[in-house]
Amino acid sequence: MTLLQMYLLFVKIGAFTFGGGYAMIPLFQTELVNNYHFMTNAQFANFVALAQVTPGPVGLNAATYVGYQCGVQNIGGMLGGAIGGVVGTLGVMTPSLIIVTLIAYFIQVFKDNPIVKAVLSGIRPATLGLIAAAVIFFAETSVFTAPLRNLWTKGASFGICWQGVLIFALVLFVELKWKLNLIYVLIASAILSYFLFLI
Amino acid sequence: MEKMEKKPTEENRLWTLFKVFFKISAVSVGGGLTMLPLMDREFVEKRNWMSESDMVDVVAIVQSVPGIIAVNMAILIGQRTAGLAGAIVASVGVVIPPVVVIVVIAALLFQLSGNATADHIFTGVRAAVSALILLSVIKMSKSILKSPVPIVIAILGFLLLVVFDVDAVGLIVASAFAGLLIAGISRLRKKQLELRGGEGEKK
Repeated sequence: MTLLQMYLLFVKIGAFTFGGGYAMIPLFQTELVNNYHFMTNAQFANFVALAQVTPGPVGLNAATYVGYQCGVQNIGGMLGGAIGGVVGTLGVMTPSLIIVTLIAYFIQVFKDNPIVKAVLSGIRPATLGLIAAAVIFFAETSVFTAPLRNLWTKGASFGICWQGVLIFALVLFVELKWKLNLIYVLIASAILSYFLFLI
Repeated sequence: MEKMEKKPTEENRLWTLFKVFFKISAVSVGGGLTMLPLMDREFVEKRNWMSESDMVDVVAIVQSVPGIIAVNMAILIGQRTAGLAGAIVASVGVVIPPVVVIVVIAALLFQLSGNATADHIFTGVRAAVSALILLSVIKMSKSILKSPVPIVIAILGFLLLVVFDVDAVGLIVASAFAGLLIAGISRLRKKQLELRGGEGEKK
């Protein structure tokens, strides 16, 4: 993928993300992993994990990480990565800059517009479904040992990674009960995972 | 005299916008609406540049336009408080901290890839991320899935992506049309009911 291709792809993703950060993840995932084969599902999942622990908006962080990798491949070195990171960031921002600036000037027309409301009433639940699908895609690289579709594909193997299951269940339980800070949860998971794999 | 006084305050406003958004972006982890209370404190309570109802407008609009919420908030608040220049300055402020931090982390990370220990650690982190995203799905579903229609749309979207591998962008466009169609149908129905009600009265 060239830098220009990445920029245009990110413009497209930025224009079709409604509801912020998490809503961007399934779009990045299907485009980068399935369509462009730019990275594996596990690599992308690692980027998202990092995007969550680094300061700043998740969507922006993910765009910078992917842009960095693209820059390294095309130009090389940390400088190339930095250029790629900036290009990726500008890509996801471009639609916002145009659309939101326009809306800011016509705020009264846009607010409470029935057509806008109708469109969003379709997009909101669909985005929720897409984010739920992203849960499955990430689980496929941690909780399960293979893509879920292997379950209904003949001859394909499928298994469960017990370390992943344990951490998944623990995080779910702990967060439902105490709502701890995400950063601590992710760092604790990293440490726990290291020891679980030693067993 | 007046002009001379006005100019420096305008410049200060842009600089303040940049500083505040830079700061908020650097300290807030997770992004999106988690930044809202910080912005509210800075622009409504501390500086009185916006009213509370302006802020409510911003929140409503930010959730109904495409893009990253933090960037959209910066653009809207920047535009409200200092025009187009404000929008640009604020969004640049939001973007700089993550880009700098991530370029550094990514550079370190690339040296780690392929390392078996790093892979084991990341397997656990990915499992945690799956759980965290599931939690946010649960939280979001409480406000979005209030009636049967959105539930059906959400389940359809999920299945189409997981089982049938459809294009995610195409799915969002289709769901926008579905929303329009459903709103149109329910409006027609209402009109028909009103018409019937009117006829009933005549008889």
